[in-house]
Amino acid sequence: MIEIRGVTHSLGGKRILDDVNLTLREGSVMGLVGINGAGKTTLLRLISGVYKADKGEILCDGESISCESARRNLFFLPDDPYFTVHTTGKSLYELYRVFYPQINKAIFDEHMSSFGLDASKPIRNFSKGMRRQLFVALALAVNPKYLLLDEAFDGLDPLARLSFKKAINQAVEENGMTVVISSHSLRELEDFCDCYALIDKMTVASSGDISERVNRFCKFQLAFLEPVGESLFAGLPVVSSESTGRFVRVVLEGREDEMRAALERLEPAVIEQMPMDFEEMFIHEVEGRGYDVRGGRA
Amino acid sequence: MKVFSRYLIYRLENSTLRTVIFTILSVAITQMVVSESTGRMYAENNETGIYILAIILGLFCTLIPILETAAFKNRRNLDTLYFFPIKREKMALVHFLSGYIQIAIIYSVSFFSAYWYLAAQTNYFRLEYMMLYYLLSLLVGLVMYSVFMFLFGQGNTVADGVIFCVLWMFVIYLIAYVVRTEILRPYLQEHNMLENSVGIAEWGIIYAPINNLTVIFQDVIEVNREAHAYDYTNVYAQRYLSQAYMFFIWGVVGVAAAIGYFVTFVKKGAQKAGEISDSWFGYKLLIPAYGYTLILYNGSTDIGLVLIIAMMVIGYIIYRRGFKFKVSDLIAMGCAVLPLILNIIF
Repeated sequence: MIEIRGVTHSLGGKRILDDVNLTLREGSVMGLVGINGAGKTTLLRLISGVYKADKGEILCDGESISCESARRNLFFLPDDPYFTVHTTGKSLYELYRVFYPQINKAIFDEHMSSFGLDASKPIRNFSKGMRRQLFVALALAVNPKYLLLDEAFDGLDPLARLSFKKAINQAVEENGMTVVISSHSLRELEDFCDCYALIDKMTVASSGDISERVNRFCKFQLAFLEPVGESLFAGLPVVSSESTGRFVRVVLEGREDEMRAALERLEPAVIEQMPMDFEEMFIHEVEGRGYDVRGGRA
Repeated sequence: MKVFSRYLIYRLENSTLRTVIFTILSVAITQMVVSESTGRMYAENNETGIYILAIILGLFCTLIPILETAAFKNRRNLDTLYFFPIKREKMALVHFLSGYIQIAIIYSVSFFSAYWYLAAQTNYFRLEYMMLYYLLSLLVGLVMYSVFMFLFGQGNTVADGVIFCVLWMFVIYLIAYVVRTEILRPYLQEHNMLENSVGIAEWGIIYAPINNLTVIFQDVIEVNREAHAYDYTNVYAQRYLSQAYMFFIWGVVGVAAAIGYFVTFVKKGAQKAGEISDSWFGYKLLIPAYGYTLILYNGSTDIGLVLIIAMMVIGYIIYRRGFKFKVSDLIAMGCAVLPLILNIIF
C-alpha cells in the first residue's frame, strides 16, 4: 500500500501540491487525472522518490520512499525517459538489471518482439511510441509491485495501446501489480482503471472508485412538444444541461431511477437514458470547480 | 552483490571504451614527449619529460568530472536515475569513485609507460623517486578531482558547470596577485617579501599543486639538472619545497571539496536541473570577484572600466539567461560603475 500523508511541494518558489493525502490500495489500478499543470507529474515524481517532498511523507508498505528497500518495489516510467545517443534496448536492460536483479530477460525479449523492437538498435532512432514500448517491456520484465506511469498512452498507436493495456492488465491479474497511471486520455483510463484521483488546486480534489463515481451521475436526452428553458429543471440536481429548442440533454447527480422519475414528472414526449463515461464525469467535475472546459480555462 | 558494487561495476564497464581511448591517446602523447625529451639528452640535456604526466593528470581531473556527472544536469535523466533504488549518497560515491578510477587507470598506464621507457633508455635518472612522485601525484590528482567534482556540481546545467570550473581555475590567483601588487606591495617591499609572495599567489591556480610537485620531482629525478646554470627548475623547485605547507592547505581544500560534492549531490533537488545556477560558488561570487579584481588591477582608465563593466553585464546575462536582473546583481554592477563615475567627476 502506498500512503501519501500531508505532502506539500513547491517548484521554483511556486506551490505545486499542498497537503496531498491519498492512499493507494494494493492490486488497484489508479488513474491520476487533472488539467494540464495540475501537478500529476510532480505527484508521480514524489511517489517515485525523484523529488523529495518539502513537507509530509510518502510511505510504501510502511517504509519511507526515501529508503532503498521501499523503492525496490517501485518502477517509474516518466513521460520522457532517460537515454543517451548510444543507448540501446540491450544497454537499458543492463542498466535496469543493476537495480532490479530480478528482471526477467525472457519476459523482456518476449515483449520486445511482440512490440516489434530490436534491442540492439540505438533508441535515438526510435519514435516516442517505440521508446515507450521499450520502457514498458522493461517495466514488465522487472515486474515491480508498484508501477507508476506518466502520460502512459502518449505516442502509442492504437495497436500498441491495446497490447500495452493487455500487458498491464495481465500483470495486475497475475502478479497483483498496483498501477498508478496519469493520462489525458480518460477513455483509455476508464478501460482499465478501477479507481481515480483528481488533482486540482494543488491537492487531491476527489478520489475513489471510477464506476461508483460514474454511477453517481446519470445522463438523459429529452424531447418536449414545445421549446423549453433550463428553468424547467430548477429544483433538480443538475450538473449540466444543454438545450436546443425542444431537445434537452441533461446530466443529473443522483440515482438513475429517482432521476428518471423526477424527469418524467416534467412530461417530456421522449425520455432516453444515455451512457455516462469517465471523461464526461471528469468534465463535469472540473466544470463544477469553476473551469470552462469547453471554452478554455476559467 | 549489493546495489552499490553492482552500480560501480556497471559504471566502470560502461566507461571502458572511453577509458581505453583516453589511455591510448595519453600513452601515445607521453611516449612522444618522453622520447623527445630524453632524445635531447645527448645534446647535454637530461629531461625526463614527466611534466607531460602532470598535464595528463590535470586534463583528466578536469574532464572526467564533467563526463561522469553531466547526466545529472538534465531533468529528464533524473526522472530515471533518481527513482532507482539506491541512496543518493551511494550514487554520489559510485560516480566519484568511478571517475577517479578512470583517471587513475589513464594516468597509471601513461606513467608506467614513461617509467619503463626511462628505465630502458638511460641511468641518468633517479628512478627510485619516480614511484614516490607517482603516489604523491595520485593524491594531488585526487585533490584536483574533488575540487572539479565540487565546482562542476555547482552548475545546474553542463554549460554553467564548465564555466565555473574554468573561472575557478584562476580566480584565487588573480585575487592574490592583485592584492599583492595593488594593496600589499609597500608592506611586502618593506619586509623583503615581494618576490616570495609571487610564488604564494601562484598556488591559487587549481593546477598549481600538480605543477609544483612535478617541478620538485623533476629537480630530484633528473640527475644533472643542477649543473645547468640556465635551467631555472632548480630555483623553482627550491621555492616550492619551501612552500610545501601549501600542499597541506590544498589537501584540506580537497577534503572540503569532496564533502561539498557529496552534500550538493544529495541535497540538490532534481527540480534544480536545468534551472538557473544560483550557488554561492557560481556566478554569484565569480562575477563580482573577477569584476572588482580587474577594476582594482586595470581600472584606472575609463575605457578599462567600461570594458570590465560590460564584461560583468555579459556575465549577469549569462547567469540570468536574459535581462531579468535581480537587485543583488544591480547592486554588484552598481558598485563596479562607482569608480567610473568617480573617475569622470574627479
